[in-house]
Amino acid sequence: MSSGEGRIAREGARGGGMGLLRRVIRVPELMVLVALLIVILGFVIMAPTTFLSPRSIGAFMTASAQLGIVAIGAAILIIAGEFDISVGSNYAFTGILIGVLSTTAGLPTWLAVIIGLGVSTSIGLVNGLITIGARIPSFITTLGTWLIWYGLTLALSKGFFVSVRPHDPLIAVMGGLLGNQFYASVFWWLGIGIIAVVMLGRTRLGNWIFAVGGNTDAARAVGVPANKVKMFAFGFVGFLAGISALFTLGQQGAMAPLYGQNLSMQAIAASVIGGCALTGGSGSVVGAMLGAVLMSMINSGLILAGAPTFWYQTFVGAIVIIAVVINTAISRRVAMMK
Amino acid sequence: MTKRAVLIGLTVFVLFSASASLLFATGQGEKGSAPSKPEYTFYFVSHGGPGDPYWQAFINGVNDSAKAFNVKIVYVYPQKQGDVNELIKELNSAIAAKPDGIGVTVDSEEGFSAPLLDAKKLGIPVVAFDTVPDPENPKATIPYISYVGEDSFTAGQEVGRGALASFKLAAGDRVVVLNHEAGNVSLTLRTSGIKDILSAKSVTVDELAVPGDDPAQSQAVIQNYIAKNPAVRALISLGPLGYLPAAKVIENGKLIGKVGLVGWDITPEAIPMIQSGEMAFTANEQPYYIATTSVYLLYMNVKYHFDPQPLFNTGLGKVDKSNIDSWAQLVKAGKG
Repeated sequence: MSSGEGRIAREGARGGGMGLLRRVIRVPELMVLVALLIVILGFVIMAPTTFLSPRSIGAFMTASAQLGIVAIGAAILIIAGEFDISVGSNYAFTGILIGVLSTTAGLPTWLAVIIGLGVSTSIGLVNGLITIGARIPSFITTLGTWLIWYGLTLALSKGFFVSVRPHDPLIAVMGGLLGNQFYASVFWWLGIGIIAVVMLGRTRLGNWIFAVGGNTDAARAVGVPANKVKMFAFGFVGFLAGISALFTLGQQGAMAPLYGQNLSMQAIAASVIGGCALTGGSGSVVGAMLGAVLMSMINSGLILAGAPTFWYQTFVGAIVIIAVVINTAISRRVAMMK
Repeated sequence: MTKRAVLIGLTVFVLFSASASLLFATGQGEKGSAPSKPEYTFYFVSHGGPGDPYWQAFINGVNDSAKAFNVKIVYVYPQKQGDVNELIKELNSAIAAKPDGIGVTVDSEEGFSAPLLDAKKLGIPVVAFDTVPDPENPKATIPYISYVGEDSFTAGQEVGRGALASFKLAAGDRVVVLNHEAGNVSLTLRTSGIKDILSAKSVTVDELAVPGDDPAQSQAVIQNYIAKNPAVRALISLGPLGYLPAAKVIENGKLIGKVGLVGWDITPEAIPMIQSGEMAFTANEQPYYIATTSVYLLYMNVKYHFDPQPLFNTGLGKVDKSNIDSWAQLVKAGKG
């Protein structure tokens, strides 16, 4: 069950008598599911022998994992009413840091990974502290920290790729190849996704995240620790940026300081396509994960259909606008049905 | 400890880290400058900055040259690599500072003509480096005393010839060019040069845009291209951001020996790939050489009024098994 569905179930129980139509159109993943079906159908027609081959599925699922793990955190943060556009810098900085600690500094890989994930989580928490403490928009905070961490990434890497030890077992567990087609990152992504879905849809914390994003003052008035909830969301997206860096290290064996420059915007795009309202209080982790799959699938499908890859951005841009238009229309419709 | 204290502490930490980084970066620049009063001041205005291994080697060359010639070099670049509008603004600012000489990447004729004509009027000598619209036919509308860098079209031709020989390509074979920065004029010219040679032998050349900042997506794109075109004989990457994911696709698909790989520019990651034969060779624009030569030509022009040759083509270098060991040493020293 998606987080969105969990919320609907609770509201349905409270409101009673909610019609089937109302229930269906309030499923936040509806739009992305329809889009996925259309895209799959289109590419199956255009590339019937290759699009659904194990090799193709492995390729776009691996790319989905890289983006989707960050999209999980981005979606939760958006639902909580905030943004983090520094995750791309966080991702690159953490990857470079783990590489430097485990090679140049000679630390054991497990320790470098722990430090790296601690730093990536702290970066998220610092974003939260500044945003909440100084009461400034998270967009501004993370715009600033994006540049700060990008600069530090360049300083730490001196502009070069940073490699990890070849065939390191811990790095391989996080992002190595399993069999011929799938990377371990896909399974980590799905596992973390399930945990996030349960957390958002089945726990008090999940309820609080929706409440804080919907109306922070109202949530605070009924005893929700709004600042702590937002801090959790900031820290969680930071942690997931670190996990995404581990995926890249496992897959590529190296991190470049230029990697991840568009990751933040892509994660936000995946969340929006997946049904997250940029105003907060509504959205779905499953939707964001499917949004990441859709974006990766379009890129892969265009290649398999023999279309120029330059079209990728055009397609994704159009889908983001369509998603927001449809989700806004649905919200209005639901409001009218109340 | 109160929340406010924690906030202040963390904010101070972040600002301190940023300041330390800036000092670190500035310190690096000053390390390259001479201890005594610099004889001249040169501005280097570049579309690339630190973050790209190629440009980092270039910056190392600029810093080493500043020290060697006792000149002050101010290196400026846009925050977003390849942002030409920002680059032109920075060029105008550099001219307004009236330095003794300017080095600049000339990304287009249109935007750069007016500022470069202004520089000429002010008597500021300009060396173009890395990128000019047409290296072999310099125009009066974009005045510079010399261009130092790759002649991208001829470099592409050279790579095309190298691929023909390395993979024994014949009529009907297919190769793909991986472009990590679609729209970059130099990369377009490289591709044209490759096509010029391979198309003449009836080898099909496809172009594939790969997102340079997203290795997982790049890998998926390349993997799917090979799935769609199983007869592809070679991948030619126009830079390191393309050849690393390409190598992973070749390794994972057990395609070593079946699909060849050629790169552009040398990085530490390319060294074992060339040593093992996974990558046949990498073309080498030699950024450190471009930087040191550009500073040298400016210095000799300003101090002694020597007129350099109009084209100093550094882009015909090739790193393969025969010279990889010496290049490995240069890469380690940040001069690759």
